[in-house]
Amino acid sequence: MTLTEIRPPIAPEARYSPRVTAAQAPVGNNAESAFARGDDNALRLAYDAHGRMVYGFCARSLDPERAKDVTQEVFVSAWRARHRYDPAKGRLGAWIMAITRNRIIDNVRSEKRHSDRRADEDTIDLSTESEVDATSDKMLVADALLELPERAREVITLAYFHDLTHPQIAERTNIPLGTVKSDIRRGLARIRQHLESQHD
Amino acid sequence: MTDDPMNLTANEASIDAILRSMTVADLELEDPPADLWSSIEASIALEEVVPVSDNVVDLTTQFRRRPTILVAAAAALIVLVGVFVASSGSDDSTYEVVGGAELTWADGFVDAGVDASAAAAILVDGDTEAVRLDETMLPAAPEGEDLELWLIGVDSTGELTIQSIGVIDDPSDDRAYEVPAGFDPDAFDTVLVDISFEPRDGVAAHSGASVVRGPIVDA
Repeated sequence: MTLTEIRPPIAPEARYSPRVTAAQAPVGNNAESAFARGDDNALRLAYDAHGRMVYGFCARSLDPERAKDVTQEVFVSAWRARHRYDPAKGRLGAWIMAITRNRIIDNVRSEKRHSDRRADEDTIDLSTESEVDATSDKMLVADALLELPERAREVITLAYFHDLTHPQIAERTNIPLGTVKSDIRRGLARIRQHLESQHD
Repeated sequence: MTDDPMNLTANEASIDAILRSMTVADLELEDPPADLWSSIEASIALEEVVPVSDNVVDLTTQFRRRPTILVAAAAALIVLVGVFVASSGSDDSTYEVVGGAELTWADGFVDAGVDASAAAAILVDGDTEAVRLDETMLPAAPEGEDLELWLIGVDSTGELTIQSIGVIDDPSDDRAYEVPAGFDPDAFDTVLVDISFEPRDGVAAHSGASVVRGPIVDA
């Protein structure tokens, strides 16, 4: 593949729109298999699908300049290591986020060691890793939420981000209470699938 | 939510716990900087043009300088060389430093460059731009080859424009290398500074044997 062959497949203004539905979003098994094979445009599709999540993760963990650099390093490394990605073992987003996590932890550790040479390295490592892992989980969940069917996304958003009870959601949305509960459960299960990865 | 237990499975409960720890701000993922994709694209493309395989011929066609640029560059050099000689050397005080690049080795570059590094300052004086190398730690070129300085522009469509800036006779001097007038750094999304080994074989194109490279960032 040469540089000229990886042209943007969609107009820049259409990128990253939260209004892009799951059906339009350039993710899914075909795009993930294409990435593993190294097809033309596959990296661009992966960036369009996961660039915001990776950058959001970096921006919440590192200073802006490092966030940009690390995001770049992550996509370059992911592309170099694409032969190690197996779509059968998990979603591409989760695999790329695992690469991002490791890069961020390396950066945070080196920053902390630099700023406080007397700090206990074990303590730094434990707190760093748990904070970074928690941020990674949040970004993956935020990204997965965008891919849920609209009704499930709305119900979960009302439940978790507007603190409505299930009966309140049923009343607000005119959806039967039983359906609200089943939408939430199914939504949680589908989000979970986004986070799973059996890669080493 | 807490008033309404649903007997979640462990998998569902793990997502439930993450959602409970989140705020609306966590849903607002901002767009990456607009130039990030072109940097990624450039980084990957430039790795792939390094001739570590039999693709050398194919790939170096991308590096062939355009005749129009060469003509313009030659004309510009004739005009500018006098001016430049007068203002180069240790005194470049009339120049303003507008950018810089940290040049480092990367996988696929020549092995001799593994510990190499350099800093490049981008200088401007009126319409004249120049590149000055600082803090160079460069390997000597192999017998029959030179170290050559390049600018690599990557435009919004990903097309590369490779411009020779000059042969580096002495990496430790503080000479500033004139950027030919035909090469407009502002025309590109990303411009990289590259130093390569170039055989003295009469081929003007970049050999692909890069030693170090790095993107220019504004000062």
